[in-house]
Amino acid sequence: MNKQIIRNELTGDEYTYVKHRSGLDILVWEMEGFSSVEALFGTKYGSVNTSFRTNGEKEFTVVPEGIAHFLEHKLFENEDSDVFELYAKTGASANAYTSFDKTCYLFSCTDNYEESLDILLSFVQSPYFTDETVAKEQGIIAQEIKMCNDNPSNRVFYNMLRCLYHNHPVKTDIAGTVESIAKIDAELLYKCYNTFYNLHNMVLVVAGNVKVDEVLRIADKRLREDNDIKLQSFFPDEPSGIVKKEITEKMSVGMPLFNIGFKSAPLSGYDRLKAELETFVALSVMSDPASVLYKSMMEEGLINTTFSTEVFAGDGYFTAIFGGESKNPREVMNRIQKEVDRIKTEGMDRRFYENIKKFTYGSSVRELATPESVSSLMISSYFSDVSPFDSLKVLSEMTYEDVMKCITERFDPEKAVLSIVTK
Amino acid sequence: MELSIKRDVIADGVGFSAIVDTKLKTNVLKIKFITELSEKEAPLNSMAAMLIGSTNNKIKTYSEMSDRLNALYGSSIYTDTSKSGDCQFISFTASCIDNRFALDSEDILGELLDIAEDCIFDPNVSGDGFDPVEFELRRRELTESIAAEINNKRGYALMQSQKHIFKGEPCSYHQYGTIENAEKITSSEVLKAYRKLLKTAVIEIYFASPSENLSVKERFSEVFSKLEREPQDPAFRTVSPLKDEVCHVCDELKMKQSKVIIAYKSESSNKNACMVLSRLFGGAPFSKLFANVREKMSLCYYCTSMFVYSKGTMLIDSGVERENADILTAEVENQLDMLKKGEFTDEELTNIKLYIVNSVKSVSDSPSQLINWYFSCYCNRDIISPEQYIEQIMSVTREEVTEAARSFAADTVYVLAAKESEENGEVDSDE
Repeated sequence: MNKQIIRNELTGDEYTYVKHRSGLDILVWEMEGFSSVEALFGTKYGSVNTSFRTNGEKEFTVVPEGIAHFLEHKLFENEDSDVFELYAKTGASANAYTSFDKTCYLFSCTDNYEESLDILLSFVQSPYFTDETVAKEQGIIAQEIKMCNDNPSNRVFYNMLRCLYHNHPVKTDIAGTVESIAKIDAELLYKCYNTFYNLHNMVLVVAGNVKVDEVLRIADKRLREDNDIKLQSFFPDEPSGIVKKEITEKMSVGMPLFNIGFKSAPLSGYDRLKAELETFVALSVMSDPASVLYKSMMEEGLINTTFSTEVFAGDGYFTAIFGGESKNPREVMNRIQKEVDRIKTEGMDRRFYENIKKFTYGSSVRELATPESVSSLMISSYFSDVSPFDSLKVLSEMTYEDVMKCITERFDPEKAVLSIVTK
Repeated sequence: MELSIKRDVIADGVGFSAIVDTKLKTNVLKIKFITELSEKEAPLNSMAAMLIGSTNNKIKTYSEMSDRLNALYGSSIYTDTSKSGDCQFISFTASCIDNRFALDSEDILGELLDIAEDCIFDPNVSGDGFDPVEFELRRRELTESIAAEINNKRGYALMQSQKHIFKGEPCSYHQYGTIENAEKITSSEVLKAYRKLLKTAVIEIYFASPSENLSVKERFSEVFSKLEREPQDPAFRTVSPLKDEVCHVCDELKMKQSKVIIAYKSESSNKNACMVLSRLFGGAPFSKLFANVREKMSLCYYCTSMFVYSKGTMLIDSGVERENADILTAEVENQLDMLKKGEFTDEELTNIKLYIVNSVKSVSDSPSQLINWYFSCYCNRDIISPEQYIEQIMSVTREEVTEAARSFAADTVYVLAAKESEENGEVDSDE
């Protein structure tokens, strides 16, 4: 096994990268003085991976929407025990989550991290599904789906994605629908498990009060050796244009909510990180409370302090989002479009741009502050094929011209959509 | 690597706790104003909090404030209000990355503290009230926040339930009040309320940083010593009386999933036993409610319990199909009955204690958690270290937990029932 130390001179932080013989990549960040340990065992398998093949199979297998999330729930049940009961003996707090592009199993603890790590590595490698336990889980997940469907923030976001994306599976809810999860059975779960839970498609990340050698000792003991099955996910061709300009859904809400999304070309790896940070800075220049746009919309009562922005990007999708509450979302959309045009013509205020860069740099330093934020940064960076320190590098090299180019290319009014949830 | 905590009284009813931990990368200043929850003054205090957290007499607009904070590497200043039992807490927080990360050797912390001090002691006042433009902006924020509470169905149900659970007690008051009242509030009333807070609230200040910085304490000692202070100690704990009969309330809302809130009340003063009981009941993913109501019966996605020591009340919170609300309520009761009979294993008890210990031990890893820890100790009138608390939790016996369970009786069952709607979910779109 080859241990590689990755160090950042600016902050003095470092972590160890190991390519384990099992095929798994392991990242360990020893954080002196901290009491807690955060560990994540993740697979590059999210809700968007609904079509796939391995080892040069001719045909792609297509599975029901929401199956990655369903599988996450079911892995917590072993043949002879409930995983939470195993963790209960160590005192660790365990959880898991499924996003669009990954599934992660995690625990947080202060004592007995070796035992908890042993449990984590063991249960994720020990699937046990029966049609009976699958049926039981369908009831629980149906309630989770209904809870999410009552959440207007969720609805406004997914409706926006449905306006933006014609074919890409990112337009479907992570948990699927009550109807789609009804099609899931034990056989399908095993098929997905054996495809995506191959160690070549996974990573182990540990941060906090740990020792690299101890983590590796447990990994040596618990990890099976996997062959690389040459996994390929299939994503249908996605036109560069949008599906429709606007969508409105009615729900029980006190204040109408909106999401405004600008669709642009997807990227991967370091290029994506660079584009994400440029878009983040561009969005902040337009929407920060110190911006001209924010100030005028606030004074006119068009927005309130819930107004915020987000860069939403992954394999095959890239969207810059403005969101919040407003009594007149269409006028907010109109004003944002005008501000984009103005900046494209007149440029950004340079002093303001520099301040926003400082703000972004400060946010990146904060991400290195605790075992929880560090472990989260490490796993998202790993699955994006970048280093956790690359954000600081991108920011140090970012120029005014880079951000102006980003605004020109990634804020096309023809590719902007408005999603509203109102009563 | 060292962690040190020292609390001094720097003025009448004003405590200053310095928390130094060399592993920290950020500095956090938190000022907590503690006052009685009053129906009339709570919304005024909430408005005052919004105003002092957004501007001061030198930085007159929120935009200007944001610009200054951006230049300080994304430093933040924010305020929030919360209620705990019959008290209202107004929190002012200022946070920044440590000076050693400044790219041009700026004194980030020094500048941030100057701004924070002005926010507290030199607010954005015009005449006998807050600046009228900022006041109107924050008033709209307040009314829209009240209107938007219904957007979060789980939080809304909890809030509505408390009107019935704590009926007739200050704890039932909404700390933002109603939209109608918010529209009547005047700027001078809010300034008066804020000045009253500075005079009468009990104030706890926390400063967490990677290195010792005595000047911060000196700075606040100096300004507070100039203030006229008449602190009024609020009652941190007022046990809520049990109703003669269980109160059943059902409201309806157009939504897909119904929410059920069940309140149990107890006069037990054995805080640690009640805490262990609540976790064992529904405060962990291996607790009784999780294992039975969710995993065995597949009734819901979440069913949790939370012990509110300040009111002697345990709240059960879940989301289910409307037709299953009664089944869930009966099973919750059944599970509590089993705990009352001592039907839990020693292993389950040990595991839940370990679970609590684990969460307590990690508080030292985050300045915000450390501050919350010591503030909560202050409110409980029992300032102890996490290590001392761990000893207390580990010594809780099975008999104490059983006794704690027996001390709880059902008080209120609140259901926010999902109502079918033809309109809801309707989607209009323009091609």
